Amino acid sequence: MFSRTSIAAHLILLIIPITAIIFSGIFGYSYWESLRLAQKDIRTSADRLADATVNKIESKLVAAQKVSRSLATFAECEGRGADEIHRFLKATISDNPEIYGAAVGFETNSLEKDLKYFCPYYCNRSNQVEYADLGTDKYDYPGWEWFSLPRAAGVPAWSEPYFDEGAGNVLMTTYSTPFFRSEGSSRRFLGVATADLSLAAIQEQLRNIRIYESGYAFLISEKGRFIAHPDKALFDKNSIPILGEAGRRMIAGETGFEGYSCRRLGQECILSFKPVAANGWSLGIVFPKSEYLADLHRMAKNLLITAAAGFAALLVLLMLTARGISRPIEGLTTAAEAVAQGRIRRAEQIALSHEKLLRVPEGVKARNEVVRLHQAISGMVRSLDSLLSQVVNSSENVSKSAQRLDESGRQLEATVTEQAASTNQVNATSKEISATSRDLANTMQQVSAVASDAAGLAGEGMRSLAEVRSAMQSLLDATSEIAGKLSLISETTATITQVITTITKVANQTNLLSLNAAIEAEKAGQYGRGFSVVAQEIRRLAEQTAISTLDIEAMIGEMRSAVSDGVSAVGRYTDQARESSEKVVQISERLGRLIEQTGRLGAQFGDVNEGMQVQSQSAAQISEAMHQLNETARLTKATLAGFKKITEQLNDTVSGLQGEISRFTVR
Amino acid sequence: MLLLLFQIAGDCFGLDADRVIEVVPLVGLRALPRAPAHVAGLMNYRGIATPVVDLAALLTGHGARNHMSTRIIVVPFKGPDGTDRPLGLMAERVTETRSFKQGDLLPAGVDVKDAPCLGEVVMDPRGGGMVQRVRVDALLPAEVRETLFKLAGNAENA
Repeated sequence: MFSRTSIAAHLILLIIPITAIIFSGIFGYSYWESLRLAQKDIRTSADRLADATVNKIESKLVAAQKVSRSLATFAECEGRGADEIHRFLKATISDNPEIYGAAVGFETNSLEKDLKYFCPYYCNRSNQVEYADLGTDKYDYPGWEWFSLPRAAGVPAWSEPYFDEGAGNVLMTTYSTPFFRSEGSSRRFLGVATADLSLAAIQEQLRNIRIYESGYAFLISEKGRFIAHPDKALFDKNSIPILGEAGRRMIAGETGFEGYSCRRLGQECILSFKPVAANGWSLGIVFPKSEYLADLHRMAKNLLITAAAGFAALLVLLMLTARGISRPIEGLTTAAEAVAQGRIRRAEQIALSHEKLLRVPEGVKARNEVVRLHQAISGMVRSLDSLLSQVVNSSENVSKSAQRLDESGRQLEATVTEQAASTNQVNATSKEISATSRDLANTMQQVSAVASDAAGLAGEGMRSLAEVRSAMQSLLDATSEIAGKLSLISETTATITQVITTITKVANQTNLLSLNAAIEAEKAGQYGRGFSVVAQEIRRLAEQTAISTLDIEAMIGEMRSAVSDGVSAVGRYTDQARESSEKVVQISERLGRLIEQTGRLGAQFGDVNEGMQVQSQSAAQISEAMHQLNETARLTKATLAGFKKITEQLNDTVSGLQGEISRFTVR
Repeated sequence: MLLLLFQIAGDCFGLDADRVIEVVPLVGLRALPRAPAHVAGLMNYRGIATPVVDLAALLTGHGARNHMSTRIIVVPFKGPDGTDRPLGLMAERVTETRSFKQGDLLPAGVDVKDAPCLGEVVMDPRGGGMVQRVRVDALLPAEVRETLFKLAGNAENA
């Protein structure tokens, strides 16, 4: 990665992400913390606002309760007259302006026997105390809730908000305290003393509560009906469908702080609620989330804009810094590349042009790394230049020397090679002479020995041959005699065969004759009977003759074949014997001649043999000397080859060096 | 009665001796080219060109061997013109005659249609074998007979 990107890009890629990560961390943490603090803050302020509002409402309620009780206490005393009650009631109303109205209602016929209803009512209306008599048939106060509830329960009670037509003619709520007359152990219900609170005042008070832009407060009664709400249409409506679970908790008199999706504002809110202890009402305050978090969001937005600006500034700064570093380095890189390509003069020019740009001090060791790099490269280029010039000169000198050396070596080698070749030839020739004469000497010795042996053996052979010859001759004579006798036998047998054939023919003719005779005799009938007997006898005789003849014929046939086999065998044997005899005679003659010659040769062989041995020894000595000479020549040649190899290496090295140097352009 | 004995393929057969003119040795026969295999040739019998039938060839398909005992039996034979003419029958081992009584002849029991010449058999008193009588009249089929004598006649005329 480092080699593929420039320094500027590398710096930016390295620093920007890290900075962004750090900033994101800080921003995330501060945003989360601020959110937590804002929520805590809103809870505190919601609690405070609820407490203050509830206190205000309660103070009014408590005031009403007090008035109601004091009126009850006054009314329950014995012997109170109507006028007295009127007066006290009027005074109480005018003394307590926060009370809208108050009434003392007696049970029918309780104050006076003939008086059915008694219920005076005073109220503060437009800063005037007004009177209204409720003890009329038309109003019929015992039927109203504010009277009937405490009478039934026997304890004071707050009524649900209602619109009293005929008495207050405003929206109100009434606190009624029953009063009794003690009669022995029991007590008798006498009537009810009431104090009215105008709801308009409470509604006004709640309406004045402003929470951010659109936040609001509302009040629900003990039975869950809206008493006060910015939306007047909701008055006296059931709150459960609107508030849901939160509404139930409010009715149950709980304190709470929870998320609430407000349909009226159409956004997520926080609902804080608190019960009014005196009469079981519950106060609810709605904080729209977006509004109480608005500041936080604004802060975050500003912070992000600032950060973006900061990043842009950082980017520009980084690019400038990187350029400041990379530009001089680029110049130096070009110079170094020029050196690498061998263009030393070009490198020097580049180095000089950068000297001004970097304001390089003369002769002082700089602290800036780039400047130091520049100094080093300039120095290097100068040193390289001078070194190369020297190397060029030296290498030329060395090359010339090496060439001269090489030539001398070559000449020397040629001479030595020629010498070696000549020596080799001489050596080979002498070796051949030596080997040949040695072989010859050996052969002569063997021949001499064989010749003397042969002479001895030939003498013996001559004698044996003479014996064989005489034996052969006698064998030949014997076989000739046998052959003659056998041919005689053969002739005799032929004669016998002829005789036998004749006999057989006669027998046959006799048989035929007898047959015909028998037939003729048969034809002659009775006359021929004697003749028939004769014919039969003749035939028997013929048969016997024929049988004997057949036996002799068989014997003669066997003898004839045996004799003819014998004649041919003896003939062949005689021929062979004759041939052998002739050959023996020939061999005998040749052997005789050979033996004579061999006997003469023996003495001459001895002389030749001695001469041969002397020659062989001399040739071996020459060969040895030549071999030594050859060995010396071979060593010289090997040394020369080593020398040649070294000069070749030197030449190669020098030419390599020159090739390398030729890449550089120097002065 | 006397039977002249001969052999064909090792079996013994007999001819009535009173029907035999003569037994002659196996003389040189004149060959008849393109004649049936059982016609051995023509011989000169007392100046008459006589056809010779090889009985072995006629009865077994294999010709008679050339032995000294192989002979020609000359019998009279009625030609197509009704006259008796000599006919040579070549057979092996024609060396013996034997006498039998008329009562010794027994029917063969088998009647071979293609060989009507084979007649009664008789037990040979000397050996264990049987001798079968050959009827000379039925020896040759009619067309052969005709052919033979025509041939013989032609030869004679020539």
